[in-house]
Amino acid sequence: MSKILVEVENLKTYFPVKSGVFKKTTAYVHAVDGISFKVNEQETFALVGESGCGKSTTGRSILRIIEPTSGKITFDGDDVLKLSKDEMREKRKDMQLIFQNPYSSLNPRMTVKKLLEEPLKTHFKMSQKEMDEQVLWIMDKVGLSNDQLERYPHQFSGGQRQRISIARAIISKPKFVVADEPVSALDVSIQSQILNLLIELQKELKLTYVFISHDLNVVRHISNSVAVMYLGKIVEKGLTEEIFENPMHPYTQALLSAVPSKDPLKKKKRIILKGDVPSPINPPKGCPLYLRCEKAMDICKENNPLLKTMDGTHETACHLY
Amino acid sequence: MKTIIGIIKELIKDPMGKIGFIGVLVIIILSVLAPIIAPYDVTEMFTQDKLTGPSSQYFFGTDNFGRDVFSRVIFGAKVSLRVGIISVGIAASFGLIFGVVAGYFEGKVDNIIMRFMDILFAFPSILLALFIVSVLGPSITNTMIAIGIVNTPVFTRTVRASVISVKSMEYIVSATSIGLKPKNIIIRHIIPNILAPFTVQATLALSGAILTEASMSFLGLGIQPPDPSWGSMLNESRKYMETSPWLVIFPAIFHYFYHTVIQYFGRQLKRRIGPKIKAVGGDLWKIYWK
Repeated sequence: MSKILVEVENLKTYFPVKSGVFKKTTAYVHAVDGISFKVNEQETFALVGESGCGKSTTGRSILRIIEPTSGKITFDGDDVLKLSKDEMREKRKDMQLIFQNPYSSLNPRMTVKKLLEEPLKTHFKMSQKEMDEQVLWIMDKVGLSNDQLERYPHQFSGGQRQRISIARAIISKPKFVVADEPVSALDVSIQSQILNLLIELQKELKLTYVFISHDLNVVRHISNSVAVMYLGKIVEKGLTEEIFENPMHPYTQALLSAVPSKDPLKKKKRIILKGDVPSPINPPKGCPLYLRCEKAMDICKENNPLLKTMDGTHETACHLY
Repeated sequence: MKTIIGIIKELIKDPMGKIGFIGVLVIIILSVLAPIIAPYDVTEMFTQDKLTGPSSQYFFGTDNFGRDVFSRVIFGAKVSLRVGIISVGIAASFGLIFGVVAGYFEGKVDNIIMRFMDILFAFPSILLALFIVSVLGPSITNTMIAIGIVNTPVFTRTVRASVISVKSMEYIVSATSIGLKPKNIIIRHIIPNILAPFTVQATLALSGAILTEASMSFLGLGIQPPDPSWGSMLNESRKYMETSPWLVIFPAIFHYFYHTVIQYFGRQLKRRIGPKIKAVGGDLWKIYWK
């Protein structure tokens, strides 16, 4: 078994809700509510879930772009949350973020060359020549040509822009990359190109990914293990095949039943969840899925189930098991 | 450079823009060439030709001291433009610093800066300018300082609002995630993206500053005699207005021309560069320049 690179323990990120004249904190949005997982070196760990379930917040909390409320994040042996601001800035060289929307994540006033040189200028003391070499190397790696260096982001297509933003994230040669829905803003035909690029880069540069997505087909294609999130909590996690072949939590089953089948003639039973996601400001005491779940029992109303190991690496949080 | 030429080309497509652009060019040329254009020295008195009407010798006539009104109007233009540009420069620099600090750091710093700006804003601008000049003493430098201070809150507000809007863009998060220091994020990512509304604000403030200067000089607390200023010329000629109307008409026409032309220029500039910025810099313009 390979080495664990990132370990998240009981991570919580709450956002204060302020109201009234004096901006008093009246409540908290429980965006990420006590989640734990481990990411092995050179593997891809996927976080899936519907909009607003806290997957992006989790990704950003690991990188401390959003300060988590509590918990422990170990990266390569260091406790990330104990680092000072300056130490954290240095650490960012090794942990990077790829954004969802390549239309807003690149400064419109900087040329590609400047965008790519910026991480190098920030973290390394390099001569212009060394920097030029690095920039050309990364341009080649992400499949862009050198004559595009002096162009501005708006002169590129969506796919090309995402290549630029990937290049910008990995030019400092990080070990760990959080990819926050890197393909969901792109056309399907471009999606596969970018996914394959990410897989190639992972092999070549020995990267470890946390891959955030709501597209289950994409997740199945790219990840080694998966965690399914619902209302700020992990409801099921395990190896990708375990989750896709044998989903145990009713929420995971419902999610998977929503994936369009490759064969349009094949009849499939859709599990449709009733109602809405409860508000993360005041999460219910029992299981968050209680009101929507077909298999809900009395205990679900009172007790919030904890993650239980089913077999080997497969864990799920449900009273059924 | 290319974009500047592009904006000018766009600007002169519209008749209003054309008037504004050509007018501003004329103003700049008149001010630069004032010593060549003006036939006489501004303080030279032709005592035998007091209060004579417009003629081929004195295009705009002479005043009660026998000074050539045409020369004084031309030099007054130079003074106005200088006061305008320098005072707007003062306001813009302080506005940029305060606005960026308030918008970027928010919280307490923001509150302190913005409440102070609110205090400055609460006074009618001419009253505040007169107050500052009466404390510092009337002179051309103090007039510029006063007009600069009066205009600072407007710039601070514009800049702060733009900074807050740009700050929420994902490329700022991206800069943070790369590990940039706040100083570099501000200089490299925020300021370049707020320059457009800032430039437009500066153009519009220029005509306001010229107007304030004229009002202050008219009240005797701006440019001091014998230096020519349209405001002080109007003031001095009040007594002779009925018998020698040219003393009032020409400075007033020039003043009107300057004010209008710069306003046209500013407004059209705002219209022209608005959509372009939207295409590359997000929805900043939707909020502030509707």
